[in-house]
Amino acid sequence: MTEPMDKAEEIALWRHWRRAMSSAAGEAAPAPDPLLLAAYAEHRLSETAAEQVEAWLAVNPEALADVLAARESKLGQPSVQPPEAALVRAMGLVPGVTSEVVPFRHTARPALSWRIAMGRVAVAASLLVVSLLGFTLGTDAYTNLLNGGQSTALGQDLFDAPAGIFSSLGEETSS
Amino acid sequence: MADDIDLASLTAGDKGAWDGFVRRYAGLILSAVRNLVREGTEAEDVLQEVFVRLCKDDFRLLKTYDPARAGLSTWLTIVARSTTRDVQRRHRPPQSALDDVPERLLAVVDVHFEPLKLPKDLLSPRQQLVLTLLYERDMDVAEIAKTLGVDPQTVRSTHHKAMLKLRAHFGPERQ
Repeated sequence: MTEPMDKAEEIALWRHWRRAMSSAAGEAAPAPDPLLLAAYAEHRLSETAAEQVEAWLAVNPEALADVLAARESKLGQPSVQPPEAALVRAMGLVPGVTSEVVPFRHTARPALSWRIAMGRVAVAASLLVVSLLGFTLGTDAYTNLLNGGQSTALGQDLFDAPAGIFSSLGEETSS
Repeated sequence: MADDIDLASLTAGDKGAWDGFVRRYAGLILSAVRNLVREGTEAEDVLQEVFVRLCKDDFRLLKTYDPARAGLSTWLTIVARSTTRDVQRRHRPPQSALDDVPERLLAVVDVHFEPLKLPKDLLSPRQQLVLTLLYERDMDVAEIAKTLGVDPQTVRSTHHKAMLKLRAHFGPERQ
């Protein structure tokens, strides 16, 4: 039978152990991931898994407040009403436009209707006829001018150097 | 589905799902961090930081959540408080540079302390945690029992066994 300990002895033993632990402590254990802590808060872990979390909590007791807060949130503690501006800011983190690819829409060329085609052909044909007619008339007129008597004078009028006021001008420039 | 939130749509980047998620859980996150930061801008900045973490890298953190292991509110509370601590650590004013400290203050007395020998498994994680909560957090047995989800008698028994182990180990050394 062991003799009972008083409070002072208990605290002294605890401090002694704490000092020994801190001097013997190696690398700090990494923090468990949030899901593990959350599962611990909800008592959903196996005994072995819970022991690992408790070993970490023993050296990081401030995290125990997180566990307690998480447990209270599960019990449906009244939440704070956040300001609308904060909500809008947080919502803006995910853009509204979906990232789906919009296919390029080819605008189909309307089929050429026969009326339009006929109109274009008629315009082209009339241009051809007019140009042929003009060429023929021009050729005939030139031939008549070269062959006829009057045609020489007219030809000179057409092709000789200008007379009148322009003749003196022409002399001045040539001198 | 977790707490009426469509996680698949959420992690797929669906804007509607994200907006619904923000509206639903922003209040819970704010209430989770209100004991750690000042209310107002600081709390709203932490709120934004939590949402940034959740959606960062294509919702990497949110994808780690498993509804089969813990409730979403519990998990979010742990994430929110952990984020708050990280933010506080980041904003902590830098320590004074080593060069600014007078050399005489840095002088170390060359005394070699022999590390105390401590069996690795002297106390179980549960025993360590119970003692930490009792002597460092000043919690009473009922509070510890509630925190650990066990009977108060189990806490007393765990404490008693831990103390016996410590006395058996340190008793001869301390005398």
